[in-house]
Amino acid sequence: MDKPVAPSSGFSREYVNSGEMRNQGWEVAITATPVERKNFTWTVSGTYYRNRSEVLKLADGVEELDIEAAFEDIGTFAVVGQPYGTIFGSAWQRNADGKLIIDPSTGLPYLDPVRKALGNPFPDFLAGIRNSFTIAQNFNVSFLWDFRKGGKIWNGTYARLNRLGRTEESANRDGENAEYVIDGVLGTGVVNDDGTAVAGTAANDVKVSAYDYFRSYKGDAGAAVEQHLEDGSWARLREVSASYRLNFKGNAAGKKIIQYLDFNFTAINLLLFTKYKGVDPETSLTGAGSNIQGFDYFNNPGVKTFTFGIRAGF
Amino acid sequence: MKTTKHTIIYILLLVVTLSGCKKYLDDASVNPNDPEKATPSSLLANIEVATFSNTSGNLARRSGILIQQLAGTDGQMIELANYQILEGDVTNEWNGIYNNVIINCNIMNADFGERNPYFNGIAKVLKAYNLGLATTNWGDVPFTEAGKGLSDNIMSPKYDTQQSIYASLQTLLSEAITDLEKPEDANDYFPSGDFIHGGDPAKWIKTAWLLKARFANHLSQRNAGESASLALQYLENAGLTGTEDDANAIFGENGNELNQWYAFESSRGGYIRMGAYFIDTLKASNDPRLPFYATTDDDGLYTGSNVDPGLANISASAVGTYFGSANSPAPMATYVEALFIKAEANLRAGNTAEAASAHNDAVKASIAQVTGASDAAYEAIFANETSESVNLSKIMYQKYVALFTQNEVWTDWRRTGFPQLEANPSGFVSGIPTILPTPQEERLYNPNAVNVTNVLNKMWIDAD
Repeated sequence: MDKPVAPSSGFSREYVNSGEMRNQGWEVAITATPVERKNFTWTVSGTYYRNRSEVLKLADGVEELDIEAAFEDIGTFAVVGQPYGTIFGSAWQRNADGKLIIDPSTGLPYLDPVRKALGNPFPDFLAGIRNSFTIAQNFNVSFLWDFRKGGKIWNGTYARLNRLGRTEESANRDGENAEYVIDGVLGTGVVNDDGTAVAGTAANDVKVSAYDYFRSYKGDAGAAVEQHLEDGSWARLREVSASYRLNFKGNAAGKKIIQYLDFNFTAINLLLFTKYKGVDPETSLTGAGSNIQGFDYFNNPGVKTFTFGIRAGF
Repeated sequence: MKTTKHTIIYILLLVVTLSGCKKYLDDASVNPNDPEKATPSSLLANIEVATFSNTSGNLARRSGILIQQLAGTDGQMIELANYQILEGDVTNEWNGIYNNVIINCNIMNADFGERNPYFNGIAKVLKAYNLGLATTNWGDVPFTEAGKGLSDNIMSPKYDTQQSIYASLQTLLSEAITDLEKPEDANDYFPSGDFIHGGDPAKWIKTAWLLKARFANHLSQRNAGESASLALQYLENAGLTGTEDDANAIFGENGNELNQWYAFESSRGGYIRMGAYFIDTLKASNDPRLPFYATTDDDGLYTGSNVDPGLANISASAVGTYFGSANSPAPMATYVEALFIKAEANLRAGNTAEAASAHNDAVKASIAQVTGASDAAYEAIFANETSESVNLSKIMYQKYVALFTQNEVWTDWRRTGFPQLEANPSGFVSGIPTILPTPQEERLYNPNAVNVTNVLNKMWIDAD
């Protein structure tokens, strides 16, 4: 393991043999054929996958490890007791009941001076179901649905668009709702030496301008990264495909030039159902080969693909 | 006869070949293309280049914004302008000091110190300069155990108190001066790879005394009298004669040699603009340095951006050509600074006449250095103090202008309270930060770290 050390030693990393992680999961695939007739077959196949990882031990004196360089405010970490690759970044300060503590001088929540583990980017489970129908032996159509439950995504795109005033939520910022009161408890204005704010008991009533609200609370100019973690669940119609085979009869002598023609049509990524505010929760900022999961910062969505093909057999 | 002669030649050849062979076998395991030790000149070049980046990189950008010479107008500079400085934001600067300078100075001392006092002395001066940056930005930091992961296997250096660090800085610089005063023939190698003073030990001795004066003067809040008398004595020893004694960070015109202000503006244009307070006071006093310090805005005027980035003006003036050209040097420790230290220390010691004349000399020297000429109209008003009229506010304001872009000005402001600045009213904390938070990597991986999270804490030298 590339163990981080205190940079004041003159080094930033040393190689040590250390680290322990547990992965527990299962994967199930079932195929059934509910209907099987001469001219009609219906096949269903389903898959289910879940995995739970937990970092058990890193190295002596190391409880949190930055596993891949990302942004200053957000990174991908291995934290003891958390799944490998947890999202780690800036958070708001909260009182014992989990309510935001609001700075009475600005009306904005206090930022926690220490970054922390914010959420698990990996899903609770993934599932897929494929229905295939074969009609009259030469026409086949199938539908593949994919499901993902859970898994956090940092929607950095939405944060930046809020800051720029380009989201639907921020559209009416100059209208009658130009002032906002953030839900939380008022701080007493006292900040301890360690940077933690002392919470009061009264509910926050300090108004902030739309400008500050969409930049420093809902946006990414000083807002905690925590604000933009979203649930990445989705259901999608991953693939629809149909194929038809046209068999030719021979001529009188039984000879034929073309034996058959296959027509096939495939559409990928037709429908997506998700509460995620970005374009597509199934997206990767850094691509394959990276440990970073669940970062969306102006990522491209998955493309819709339509393929049509003809194949001739001679 | 002939045969004998030939035989002798053959025998000689054999001997030569055999001895050559033996020597060859001895060195066979040494790969000349993969040295295990760096040469002293490559070590020094590394130390200096890292020092240049520490001098004019993010530490300078941050202090310039905090004391309103500059304004953060976009990107992460907005967070800085809003005083939101978190533990993840300061790692690069910290590593620049400890990973890139301190450990290499220690290696220089261990591998070449004994037989190369000039190399060693220069490395010690630069180590003191960089640890001075560390303590004036972070307060209590590793000093005695810093950068000893390799030599002593210290992976969790202890944090020294700032009080003991200031004592150690003086000792380190005195050692450096002793090294640099040794005769030339005490050196195996004469210093090369020195961009700052071209390997001249006499100039390095001056810089070492100047740094001693700077660090003595930093203790003005702790011991007003002694800090003044020591600073004056050290300046006397330095005997600086002009700007040719300046220690500067040197930059070039090519890709990775570029001046840091220039490079930052090229890659992140509009993130930093001139500060409104700075521009407004320079304009009000008709300061001749203004066109050198700042560019004009789109309308051909000099404008600064508001201290509150909520009111940022991205098209305000940017850092001008004097500090912001591709190859502009960045000052580290200069003649002008020495004159201002002289003025401040004399004032504190009650020598008001000397304070006034040092102040006037400092202002004139700065104007001559920046503009290449004197400015009679300006100097008649602002470089014309007398023992009655000179005061701390005037000295510190002029130093604030003259030391534009230098990290030192933040320390001066914290110590003296001048110039009097209004904090950004929309800041995340209720005042201008006075210390940097401990870097995240130190909090996580160094059990000996003294953690600072509140950027309004006061460090030892600043306490009243």
